[in-house]
Amino acid sequence: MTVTARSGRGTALTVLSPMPRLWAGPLRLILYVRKLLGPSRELQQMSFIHFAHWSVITRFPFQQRRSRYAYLLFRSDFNRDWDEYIDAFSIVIPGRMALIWGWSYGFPGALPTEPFRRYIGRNDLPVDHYWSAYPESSVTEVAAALRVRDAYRAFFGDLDPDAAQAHPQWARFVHDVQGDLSTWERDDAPAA
Amino acid sequence: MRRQPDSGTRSVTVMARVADGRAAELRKTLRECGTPFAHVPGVHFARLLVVEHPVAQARPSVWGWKARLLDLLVHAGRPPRPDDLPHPYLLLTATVDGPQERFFAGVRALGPEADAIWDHCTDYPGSERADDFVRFFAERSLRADYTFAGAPDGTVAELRDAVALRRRLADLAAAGAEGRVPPLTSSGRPAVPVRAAGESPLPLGDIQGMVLRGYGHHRAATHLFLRLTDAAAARAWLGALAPRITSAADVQARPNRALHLGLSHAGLAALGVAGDELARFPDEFRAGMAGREPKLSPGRGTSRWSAPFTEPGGTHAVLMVSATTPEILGAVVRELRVEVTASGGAEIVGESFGERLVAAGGAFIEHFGFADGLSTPLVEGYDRGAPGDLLPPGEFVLGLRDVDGDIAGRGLPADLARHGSYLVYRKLEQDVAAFRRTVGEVAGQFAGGADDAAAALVGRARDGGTLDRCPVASHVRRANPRGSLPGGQRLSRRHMMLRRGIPYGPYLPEGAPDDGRERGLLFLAVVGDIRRQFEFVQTEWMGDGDAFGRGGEQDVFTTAGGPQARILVEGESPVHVPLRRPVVTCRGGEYYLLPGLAALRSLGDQAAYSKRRSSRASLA
Repeated sequence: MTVTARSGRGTALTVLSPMPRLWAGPLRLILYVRKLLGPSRELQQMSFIHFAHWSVITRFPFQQRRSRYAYLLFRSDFNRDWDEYIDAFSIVIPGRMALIWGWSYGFPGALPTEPFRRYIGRNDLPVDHYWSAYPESSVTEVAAALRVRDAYRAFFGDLDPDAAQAHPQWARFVHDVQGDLSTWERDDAPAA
Repeated sequence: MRRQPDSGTRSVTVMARVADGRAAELRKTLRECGTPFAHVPGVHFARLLVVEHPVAQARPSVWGWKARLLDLLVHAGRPPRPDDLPHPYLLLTATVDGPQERFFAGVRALGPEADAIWDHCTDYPGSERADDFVRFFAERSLRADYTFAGAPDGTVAELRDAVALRRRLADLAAAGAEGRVPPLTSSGRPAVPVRAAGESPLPLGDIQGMVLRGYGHHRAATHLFLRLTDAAAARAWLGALAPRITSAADVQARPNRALHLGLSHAGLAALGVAGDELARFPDEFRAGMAGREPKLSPGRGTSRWSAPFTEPGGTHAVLMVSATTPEILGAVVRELRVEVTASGGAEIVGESFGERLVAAGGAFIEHFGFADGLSTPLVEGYDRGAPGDLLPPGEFVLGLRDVDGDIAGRGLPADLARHGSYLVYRKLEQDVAAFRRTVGEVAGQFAGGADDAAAALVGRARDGGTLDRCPVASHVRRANPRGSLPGGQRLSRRHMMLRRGIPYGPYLPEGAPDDGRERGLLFLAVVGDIRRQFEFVQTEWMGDGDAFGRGGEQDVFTTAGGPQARILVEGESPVHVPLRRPVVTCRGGEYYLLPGLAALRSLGDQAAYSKRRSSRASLA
C-alpha cells in the first residue's frame, strides 16, 4: 500500500468514486443532515483528522456532456499510519461509512477492515504537490498547544514566557498543564 | 450567492481543465514547484493533483452479506460500466481561513509562480488582472457538502503561535528540573492465564505449543539459526523432525522439553515453495525484518545488527528448544546439531542461549530488574476470562477468525499457513548500566527514589505490581493501553501480542560496575498479523508519543535516545527524565512462520508436497 503524500505528520488522502446518478440527491441529503448534526464526537475524540471534506459531483466544471455516473470526492488531511487511519474509520463508524460510500461501485462494506482498506488504497489518487502549514504538529499537538496557550493567558496574560518563570503562579501553571508539556520532538521535525 | 462569514476555516476545491497534451508536463511542474502555499496567507493544508481518469471500479472479490445486500439495493446487483472524465483536471483542494475569494487573491499574489502552474489549464487568464483571476477560480469551484474539522478552531497564525509557545514553555519547565513525583503505590500483580474448563474447540494438535503457552517451568532455551542449503535434503530432514515438534496438545502434560520450528520467507523459498505461493504472503513477511527495520527503528536501521542477522534473509529457519534444566537442554541441542549436520541440507549459522533470571522471591525478572512474563492477552477457546477480555484465536493462529471477524491470513496458501502463526524474533541488547544511570540521575525528584523513577518509566513496580496511577506513556501502558486511548478497547485490542521472550546474558547485580558484557532479551512475539500487531505497536505506540498526547516522545525501551530525548512523568510537578543514550539496542531479528504441524509434515514429505503443488487452495 503506498502512501501518496506526506508533509511531516500530515498525510493526504484523495478518493474519487463513481456512483449511480440516481443516488446523488439522497447522498447530498445525508451529508446535509450530517452537517446539521455537527461534527461526529467519535471522530473528534480520535483526534487524528485535521480536516475531511466530502463533495458529491454531478457535473464537473464546464462539463458539456454529463458523465455516466455521479462522483463522490473525498479528501482528508490526517496523522498516523495510513492503515490505522482507514481501519479506525471502519471500526468506529462502520454504519456511517456504509451510508456515505455504500452508493459507490466497488464498496466492499466497512468491515472486515482488510477489503475496505484495499478498496480505499486502490482508489487513493496520487497527489503531485502537498503542503501543510504546521507539518510537525498533529491534531493532538495542536489541541494541546491551544490548551497550554489558553491556560498561559489565564495565568499570565501577555507576559513574556522568560519572565513568567519568576512569577509566583509559575509552579501552579506548570502543574495544571503538565500533561501537555512533553519536550521530545520527532527526529524529522524541523529544527526550532 | 449567500454571504459567508469572515472567520472560520473553509474547504476550497477547484477543478480546472488541463490543456490537451499538457498533463505530464503539469505534473512535473507540480512536483518541482517548491512551496508556493507558504506564501499564501491562511492556508492550513493544500494539495494539487492532476486527475486524468477516475479509478476503474470492480466488484469486490471478498464481501459480506450486508455489502452484497447493499449492492443489490443500490446497484440492482449490476457491475459498473466504463466511465471517464471529459478531460484531465488540475484539482486544487485547500483548507483555508476566511472566504475563498481571499484565498484566491492570495494565490494571485504569487504571480509567476501561480502562472507556471495554471498556464497549463485552458482559459486561464493569468495573474495580471485580479477580477479575471478570481473569477476563473470561483467558476471552477466545487462546494463541499460536508466538512469535518478535527482540531479546535483557529487561524493558521494562531495555531502556529500556540505550537511555538507550548514548545517554549515545555522547554522552560524541563530545564527547571524542579519536578517532584510523590510516592508511587502499587497493588496486585496481573493474574496468570488459566485454561478454560472443558475441551478446547481449537485444533490444538495442529498448533505449535509455544503459540498458546509460554513454558513457565522451563529455565533455559537455545535457538539455533539455520541456513538451508539443499531443498530436497532439507525437506527430508524436516520430515523427520516434524513429529517431534511440540504441539499445543502436548503442552498439557507439562513436558520437560519443547521443540519449535520457524521458517522465514527466504527459508520457505529455500525449501522450494513455489513463487506464486511465496508471493501471497504479506509485504512485511516477504521483506523480512531487515527490510522493515528502517521503519521500525528510524534513523538507526540495521546498523547495529550482528551475526547471524547481518545479511538480510540470512537465517532460513530457527529451531527453538527449551527445557526445565540446562542438562536436558544441552542433550537435546547436541542431538539436533548432529542431525542438522548429517542432513546435508542445512547448516547452523548462529545460536542464542536464553536463561530465566530468578529474583529472590522466585519470580522471573528481566535485566532491568522487573518482573517478567506478566500481562499476556487471553485467547478465546483456550484461556479462562470474561468475554470482553478474550481475543479471538485468529489474532494468533492463521486460518481462524480474528478480531475483525475476518479469517486470519485470508488468501495465504492454505496447506502451508493453516494453523500456523507468525513469530517476531528480535534480539534486544539492554544497557543495564545506562538504565541505572538514567533513573539515578532523577532519583532525587521522586519521593520513592530510583526505584520509583524506574517504576514510573516501566509502568509497574519491580515485583510486577500494578501502579495505582499508571503514567500514561510508561512502557506497560504503551504496550497495552487498554481503554485509555480514544476509540477504547475495540481499537486497542487489535494490537495485542503473545510474548514468549527470555533473557540472555549474565545478570548485572545491583550496585555492580558495568562489566561491558552483552545482555538483553530475546524478544519473541506470536501474532496473526505482523503489520497490525507487532509493527503497529513498535512504530505508533513505542516509537511515537502522539497517540498518548506526548508528541514525538518515545518509549524508554525503544532503540531511541539522545540529547533531545526526555520522557515526561507527571507528578506534583512534572519530571522530564533525560534519556541521554538508548538503553536498548536491536542486534538483529527476523519474521518467521511457525507452521502448523500438518503443514510441517507436508513440507517435509516430498510426495505430499508435489501433490500439493497441484492444488492451490487459499485460506478462506
